[in-house]
Amino acid sequence: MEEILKIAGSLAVRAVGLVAMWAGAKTPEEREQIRVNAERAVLALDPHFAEKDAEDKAKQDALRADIEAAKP
Amino acid sequence: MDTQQLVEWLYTNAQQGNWRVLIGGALSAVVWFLRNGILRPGVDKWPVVGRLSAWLKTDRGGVALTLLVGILGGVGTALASAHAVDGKVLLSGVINGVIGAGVFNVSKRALKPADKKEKRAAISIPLTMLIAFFTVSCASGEYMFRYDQATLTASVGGMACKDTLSDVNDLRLKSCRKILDGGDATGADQCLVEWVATYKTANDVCYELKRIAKAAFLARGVVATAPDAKAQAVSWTVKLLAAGAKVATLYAEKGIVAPEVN
Repeated sequence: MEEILKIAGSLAVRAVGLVAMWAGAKTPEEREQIRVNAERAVLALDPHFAEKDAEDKAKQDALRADIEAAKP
Repeated sequence: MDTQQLVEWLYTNAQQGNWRVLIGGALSAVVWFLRNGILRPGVDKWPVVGRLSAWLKTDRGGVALTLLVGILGGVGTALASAHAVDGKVLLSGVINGVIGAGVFNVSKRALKPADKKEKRAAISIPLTMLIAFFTVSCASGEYMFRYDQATLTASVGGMACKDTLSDVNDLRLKSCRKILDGGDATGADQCLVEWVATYKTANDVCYELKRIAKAAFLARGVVATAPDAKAQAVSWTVKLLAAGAKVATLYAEKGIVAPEVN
């Protein structure tokens, strides 16, 4: 339950951040900051995905190996 | 119908003197509490009470429980107010129970749809409205600002998509491992195979969101200087938000945000 709440909480924080971003940012400086943040976020996507892919696959493979070992 | 609307609906009926519906609402709340608060999964393992508890959580058991609570409520109220318990009181209890069952059913279907199509509609309709709102907002001016906002939203959404999938991957694998620890290797294998298939589908939509966020970022310079810049920016913004909506819809449908842990 704690883990589920953690996932939901993390999504809620991001959602609030995005709503604040869509609703605010009226000055040219704030708008430029959004363009810069968008660039940073896009550039961070590939390494982030690669890292998560590797982690998830390793965990799935470990369980698969244990299942195979336990099979009669 | 959300919780607030439900409360408003009950209040309006109370104001109009339609007390039966209010009693029905209160009854359905009592039944909900009994089924979810008192008769918890742990109770189902008790020797005799457990079987009854499990049955009361079925559809038929729910109806019987609502009728029983309605009748007991009527009898209790009659006794408390020093009135005789006659056929009229019992009939009134049955009527309240039937209304309570109706209110319970309506609330359950509206707030927690079991059907996948309903689940999908519950999330995709507000998201589509949101996309329409931002499209209109883009068309009214400041379209490159909205373009940047949509690019950032899609990127953050892509990361959230992957992070959530990864967190849920941990939970599901833990649940499959529990089956394995219980000595059922075949069951654990089936659990893993099913989850890996769901994982792949969800992962594909995360990658699609990432792809479109990157494409929008790379196209920004061309879009900003194009003769039809506004039309292109609006089109990209819709594409970005639609990809995000697709992720949210799929996650809701597959229960990836709120996974079941055995």
